[in-house]
Amino acid sequence: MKSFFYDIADKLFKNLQGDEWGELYLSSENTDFVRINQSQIRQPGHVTQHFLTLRLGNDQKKISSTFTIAGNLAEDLKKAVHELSTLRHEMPQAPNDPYLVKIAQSTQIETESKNELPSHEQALDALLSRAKKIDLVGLYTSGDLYRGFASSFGQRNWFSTRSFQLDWSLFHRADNALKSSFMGDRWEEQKFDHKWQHDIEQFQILGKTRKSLAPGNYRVYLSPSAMDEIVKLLSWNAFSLKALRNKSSSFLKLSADEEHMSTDLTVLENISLGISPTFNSHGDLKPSRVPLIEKGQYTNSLISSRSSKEFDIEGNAAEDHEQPTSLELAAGKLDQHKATQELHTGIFVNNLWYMNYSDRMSCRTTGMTRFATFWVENGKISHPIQVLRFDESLFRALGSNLESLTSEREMILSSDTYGERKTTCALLPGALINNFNFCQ
Amino acid sequence: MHDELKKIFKDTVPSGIEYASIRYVDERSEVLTVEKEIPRPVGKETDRGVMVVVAGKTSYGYAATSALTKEGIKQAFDEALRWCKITENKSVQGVAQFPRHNRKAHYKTQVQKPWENASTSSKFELLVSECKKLKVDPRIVYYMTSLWSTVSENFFMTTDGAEIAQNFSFLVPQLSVTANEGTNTQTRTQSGHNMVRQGGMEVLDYFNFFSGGPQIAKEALDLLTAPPCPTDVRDLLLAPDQMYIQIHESIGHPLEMDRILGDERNYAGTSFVQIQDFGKLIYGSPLMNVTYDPTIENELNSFLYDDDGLEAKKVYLVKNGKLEASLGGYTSQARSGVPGVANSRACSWNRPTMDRITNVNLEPGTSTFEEMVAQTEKGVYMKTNNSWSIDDSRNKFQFGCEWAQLIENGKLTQVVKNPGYRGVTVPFWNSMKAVGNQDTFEVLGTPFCGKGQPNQVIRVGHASPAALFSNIEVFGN
Repeated sequence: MKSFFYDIADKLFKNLQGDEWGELYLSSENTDFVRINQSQIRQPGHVTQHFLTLRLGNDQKKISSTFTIAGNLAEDLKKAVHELSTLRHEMPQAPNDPYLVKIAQSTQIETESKNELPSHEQALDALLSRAKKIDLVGLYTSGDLYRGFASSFGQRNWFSTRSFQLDWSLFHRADNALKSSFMGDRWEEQKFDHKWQHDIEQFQILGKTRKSLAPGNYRVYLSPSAMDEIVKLLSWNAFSLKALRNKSSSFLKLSADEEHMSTDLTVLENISLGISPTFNSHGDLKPSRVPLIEKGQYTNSLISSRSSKEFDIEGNAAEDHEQPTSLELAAGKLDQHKATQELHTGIFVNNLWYMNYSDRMSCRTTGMTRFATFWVENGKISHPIQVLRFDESLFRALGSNLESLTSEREMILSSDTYGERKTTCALLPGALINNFNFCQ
Repeated sequence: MHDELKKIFKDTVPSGIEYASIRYVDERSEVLTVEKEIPRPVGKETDRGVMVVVAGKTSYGYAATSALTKEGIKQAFDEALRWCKITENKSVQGVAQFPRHNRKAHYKTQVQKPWENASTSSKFELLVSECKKLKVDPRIVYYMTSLWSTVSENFFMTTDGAEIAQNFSFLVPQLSVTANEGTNTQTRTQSGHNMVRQGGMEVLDYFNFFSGGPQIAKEALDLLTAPPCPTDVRDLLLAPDQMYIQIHESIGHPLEMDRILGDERNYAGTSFVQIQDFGKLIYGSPLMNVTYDPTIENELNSFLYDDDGLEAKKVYLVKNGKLEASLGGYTSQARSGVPGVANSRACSWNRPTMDRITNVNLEPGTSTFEEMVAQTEKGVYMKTNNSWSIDDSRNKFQFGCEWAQLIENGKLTQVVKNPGYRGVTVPFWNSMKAVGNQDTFEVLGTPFCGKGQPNQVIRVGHASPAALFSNIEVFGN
């Protein structure tokens, strides 16, 4: 696929005229998706998709066209040349752009993965053979994924990965379930078996009668998966420079020093985690680390090249949406294995769900507990609980009320497949928090 | 393209199988955006490919490809057949769960002013002009206008001889304005991102795009100095641009039969509704009439057939407060035995069909807006959703709105900021004490309903009048 992409770029850019310059971005995958319900196959299938984005620029402006291709050089080149001609024809109608992004680099960065994936029989059988007497629902995803960038200035970047993901829940009834996942680039039977056994232990506790808690403030432990839901909400706009400068970022008060987070909280975009491409869709090369919050203080934002021009500030190669792709929260000192002991009496939350802002400018958020969430008494898991709604400011929860973060962290790979499989990840600790407000 | 596809379908469909289909999607979209009076770069997208499905008595497989050559589609059928063989006697779905007919049909959106008839430069002139109208005060720090046009050509064929061509045109206009003083920020939009309908540039007139800007700019400024919405229990009057999401989250999703059957439990969630509830459950007050209505002209999901080839007809989901039918397509109807509708849809060629919310509307009642205000002693009127959250069984919800105004002794009074409310689905709908008439009825929707594994984001139509609810927990900040 790499040589196909480089070939099409080389041949296409020979068609540029005068002061024109071009960029080409490939997003492509071959994926098996198998949906499972009640431990049976619900919807199995395969998706082959290739999207090319062609951008044509001159000194005043740039316009783009994204289109599907077949993966056949002769045919796709013909299509790309036709798109180039169409963009050239449309260029005079496009307004000039005072924040024009033109990356005139000629670097070459390549990351390729050539491992052996498990067969679908191996992965599915491993899961379904263990779940014969359990109501299991989930998705198996497996295959190759490619991202490429090329410019007429000579830049050539390539990223390919080959991975699988089993993402499942075990159900007792209704919404009483345990959520789990197993992912990687090769099958490790022993590791999977260990994961399964651990899940089954927690699943058995979930079978107990669920405790109903009254609204109020509780001490909570949020697992790394629950923290991931918080990070996903913050990723909407909290780290974006554009949102900050347009006064709509939920971190506006943090950046203005009106609110503070815990000195235990350090957040960075860390592309060196190795899950996401090191270049963005405009060909910008990402710095390995961008500190965002250091010891509770706002430090920097994610800044796209366009924002860099608009706000006259140094950029850090963020995509236009200025959302993190490889977010890392620094580890704390709490031993994860002692989390229930340190929680002592309170709520152990494995997953949060459907978070949103109650008041964006106060970073006040709402959401639900979901899946395996337990009442802990005297340091021991006692009962599963009925789902609860929370309404809580993150300036409080991750500020004055944050007691500690775990020393162990989990690498959470995105299972998001809207339009295409994503390459985002987060490295997160668990968090012990006092006085977390549950309202419903 | 249709003739070429017919030939390729005939040449590549595997022999000796019970049933196969091919669904071609060619979707062309363009987004034009102006921020703070400066146009953003023009971007357009052409998304074209096919989905093929093969089913046996107890087996099923699909494959999607962007390779629209004979070889590419043959390879897709080979992949689908591979899965079909793997799932023999293991599949939830088989051939009996697909609609079988050989009908031919054609649908096309009624468009008065086609998008392509206006030049790009003239559309930018329009957007810059409307953008300028939003900058009414130095405290306006961000303001934008946008038009998102999509033309979607769909062609569905089966081995039974069905041939269904449906061509849609959609337009999503946006106006948004943000006012700020220090760290006090308020944003107003014209109906969120929910001014969305089938049609061409005439959609702008339907949504008052050309007169709405200055009003929302003024409202954003008013909110900067407004007190917070009170935190107490009072009557709640909701505008259609909040009702749409209330319907979406607490009627649409819980009635999706694939959720009730458990398919979605690992991601979007389950439903408090059980199969035995249909025909029995009192979902809401006797004033509550909710329909699946694919016949409303230019609502987002008005069409003739769903993506599995089931014919679309108007159905009452809730009638006089009682739950009658599900949002379940042919497959779900066969699996559950519960009456449903033609709502088996896919977001594009690269994803399989499943039950989706499809033109789910609250039918208008008889109250005027003024009558609903007049009958309220202590209440609050909220409009334009900006926050939504609900549990995975679709019971406990919390919503936030951009703008609210108190109702005191039958009159609209003080503007209040950061309004929100929470409740539980069935008690909430049973508390509905008045439903607005046709004059308050608006056809809206959302282009962004997410669900399914693999994930799909799809367009969903909702139409609703304003409605009044009694004794609701409201709050502000």
